[in-house]
Amino acid sequence: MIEIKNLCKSYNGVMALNNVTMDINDDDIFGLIGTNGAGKSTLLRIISGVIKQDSGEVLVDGESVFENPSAKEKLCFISDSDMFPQNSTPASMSEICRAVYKDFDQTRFEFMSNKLGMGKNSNIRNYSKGMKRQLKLLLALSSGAKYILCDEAFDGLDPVIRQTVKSIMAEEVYDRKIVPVIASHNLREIEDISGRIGLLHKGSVLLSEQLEDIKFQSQKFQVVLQDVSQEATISSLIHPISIDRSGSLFTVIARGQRDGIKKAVNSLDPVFFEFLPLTLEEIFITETEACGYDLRKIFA
Amino acid sequence: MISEKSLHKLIKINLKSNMYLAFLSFVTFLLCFPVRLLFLNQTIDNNYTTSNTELIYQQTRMIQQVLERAGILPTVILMVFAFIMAAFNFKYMHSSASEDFYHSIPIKRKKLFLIRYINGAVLILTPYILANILGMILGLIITPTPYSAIPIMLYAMLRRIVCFMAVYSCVVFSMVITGRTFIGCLTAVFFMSFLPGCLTLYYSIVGVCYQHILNHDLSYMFLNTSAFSPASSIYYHFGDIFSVMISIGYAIIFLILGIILYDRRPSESAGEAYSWEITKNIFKFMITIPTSFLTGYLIYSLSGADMVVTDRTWFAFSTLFSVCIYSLIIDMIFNQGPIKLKKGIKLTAAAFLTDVLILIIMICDPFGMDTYIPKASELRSVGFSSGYETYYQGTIMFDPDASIKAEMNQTTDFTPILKTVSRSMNNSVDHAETENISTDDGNISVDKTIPCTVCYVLKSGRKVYRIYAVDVKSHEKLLSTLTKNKDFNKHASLFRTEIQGPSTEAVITDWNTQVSINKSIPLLQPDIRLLQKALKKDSESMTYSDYKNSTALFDISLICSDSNYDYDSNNTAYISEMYIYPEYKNTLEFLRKRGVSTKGGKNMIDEITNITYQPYVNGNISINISGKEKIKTFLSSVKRIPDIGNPRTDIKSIGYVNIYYKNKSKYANQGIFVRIADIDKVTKILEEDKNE
Repeated sequence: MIEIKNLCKSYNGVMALNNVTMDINDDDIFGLIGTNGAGKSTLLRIISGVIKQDSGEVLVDGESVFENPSAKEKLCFISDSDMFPQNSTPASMSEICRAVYKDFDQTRFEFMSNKLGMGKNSNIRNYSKGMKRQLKLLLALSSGAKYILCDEAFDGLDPVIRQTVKSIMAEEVYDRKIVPVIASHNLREIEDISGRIGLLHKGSVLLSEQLEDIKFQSQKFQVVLQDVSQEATISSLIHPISIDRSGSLFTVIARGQRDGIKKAVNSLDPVFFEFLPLTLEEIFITETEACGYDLRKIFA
Repeated sequence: MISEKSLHKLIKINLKSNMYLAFLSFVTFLLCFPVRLLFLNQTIDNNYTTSNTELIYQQTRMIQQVLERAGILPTVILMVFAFIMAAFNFKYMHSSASEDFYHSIPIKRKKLFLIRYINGAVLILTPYILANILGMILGLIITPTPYSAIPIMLYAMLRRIVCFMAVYSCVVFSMVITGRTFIGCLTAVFFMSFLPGCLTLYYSIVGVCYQHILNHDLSYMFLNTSAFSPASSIYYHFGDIFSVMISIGYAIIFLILGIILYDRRPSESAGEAYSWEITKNIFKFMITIPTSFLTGYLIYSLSGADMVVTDRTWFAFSTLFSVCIYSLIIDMIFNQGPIKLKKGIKLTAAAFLTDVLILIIMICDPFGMDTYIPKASELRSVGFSSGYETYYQGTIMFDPDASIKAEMNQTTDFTPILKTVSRSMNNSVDHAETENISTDDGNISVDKTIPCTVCYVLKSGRKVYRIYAVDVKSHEKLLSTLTKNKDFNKHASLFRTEIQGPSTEAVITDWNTQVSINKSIPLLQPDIRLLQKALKKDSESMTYSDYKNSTALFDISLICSDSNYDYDSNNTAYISEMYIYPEYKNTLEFLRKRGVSTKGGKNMIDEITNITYQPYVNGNISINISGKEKIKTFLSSVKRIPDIGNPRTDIKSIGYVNIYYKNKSKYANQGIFVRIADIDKVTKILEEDKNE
């Protein structure tokens, strides 16, 4: 388990992380999402021990990470850059990983890299961005690390490889109980694979819960009211996060359980009322809008 | 946790991936050592060597230049490699993408640092050592170098390795404290040049602001400041074991600091100028102040200034103006553009005020540094030098710095020196004081005083150097007193310095006519040592007054048959010409034993066709004197002087005489400086010939 407690980090007077507290459990696939500049990469770097926090602590299975190789052995960080050491090849990279990760699975790595057409002595400098990403993911999955931290690691991969990697990851989760922590702006993908979501905005945690729970606690529905002036009544009854009006059709997202909302809306005797599935993207937008991150305001 | 075995593995992996650098290093040093030896050996042409001895001598010199301490080329190349390797190996700290990789893998920063540090050194030093050893073996095979030279060659190799490590560690440390490779390289240059540069600048600026604080020459400055740089410390104290220890010290200190600071280095500083904000401010402050003074000094020098109030004003103005400009430029370099300039204003103001304070101290001298004369009770001894020995005793190439000479010419009987310098201070004699003499060609400027260097050695051991402008009379009186002291004479004698290098024969010429009075006599090294001993003994017993009142009999010049011997590049002081006086009993005895007639030159009057005389104050005039009697009268009325001398108080009676001989194949035309001894006779002759 990764425990993050009251984490603070600032750069040049700008607060990148402000009292971040969240847990990443062993049976999670953790999706880390957030607005631009929210602090996702900073958080991942602190968890992986690349940078040191100003205050707070990060514990990986009870051990502090920074400058602690035994804790770091449980982590493998895939950054969003495509940097490799100079003149490196898949063979030399696997040698380095073998030297630092004692559980590195060389056989598995060779098998996977051959399947993907990566010659072991080919110069990585000549690889495309996507191939470099593939290689990074293969190395991470072969490292034997328990926690795989991916910072927009699937960007640049073609759909086939993307699917393959996700399958391998799922297998690893099932077999070896690895815990992927995936930071991405591709919310559909996150929604597909993640069990737990952490949403960051301006360095703070807006929510950190199981996706199912988030969806359970928020509802989206469409309603056509008898009288459009009843909009105010609805607002007072259910305190919606957002209301979109198109004529007399209201599309509402509100916090609360389904039964409660159903009862409240039905009390107004609507002409039409239907619950709709709530996507992660909508949750993202509504939660961040509630904090003032509103597109209309940006372009006002 | 990473095991030792894994650590070795990582080192091996890193070495393997950078093997091409080792190859490059090996090729370079192969060219420096065995290839260069073979090439140089080929160029030593037997046809031009007169003997086997000469061949051996040249081969020995070749070995010294390539494999021993004299060889500077391999040292420079190693330093360049050290610089490049350190920057290359540690630039990963300057990229956030690289740091994401290296700092996320399960390895402690210290170990990562050491892996890269060791690898960088091994990649360059291993090929260097191999090539050097190959060169040594080849040198022993192709030349008759004895095996006893092996420790010397190994010592030279060790010195270069130590120099490499000092520079390498310094650059690595610079990479740790910075966030961009370019800034890291500049910082490394800063560390290697800051202290020597500041000291050299200080020594130069004292000449601008102070009249009496000695302005040392570059060789003195290099000798005394080289210890303060990891790049030049290996040359401190003439490169002895002490210099090796200093260089090792630099290597260790920079390495330890590098490790400690790397542990604490924030990874997010990649891309910033410096790893910590405070470091940036410190460097900015330390760069702007000396560079502003350097600019002020350069403007002062280029304007041809000469200690006038307005020139000091320009010096001060240029310094203060440039501190603002440099501060701005440095901010732009650090911030990669004209952003955050407002933030730097406070520091600029602090640098400006510091410059003002330094200028006040230097120009106004509130602590009386310029006028400081130690009390007699504080002194252990005092040294004095005015260069009289190079006027009377002989000529010297690459004369040591006046401060070194003053340091050597120490005496405990220093009361006359203190009296003289106090008097010159009280008279406020400006060492640049001159007198303008009008001539047909316009005014010429003549020094009225003699610059005298004094070295006060305090009882604490501290040495204080000063320069005073002493009037002619006081100078003569002082030297007359000092040279009566045999101890002073021993150190002040020109012949404490080495006579010319690998000489083989001596040419002796008559003092007045400069015609050779003997066939050249063979003089090899043992003879030269004996000659030097005799000259030293004779000069020690002559006082200043003795020299002034005497006339030399002849000059001795030594000929070096090694036409390739490059005195200039060796840059060491040596006597090129000696003046022999009738009072030099030991020297004359030495010459007599070698068949030299010491009675003086042949009477050359019959051999002369004509002479010309050019008065110093009127160089355009050349008066021709012909006729045996006139020539005889003229030459008997003038006295040859070795040089114009300083000060030229009798400037109107000094001139240049050209002597033309009938038998040009036997006697080359000669030119000498003379002083007119009998003004009436000479005036008459000159008037007659002028009219003709």
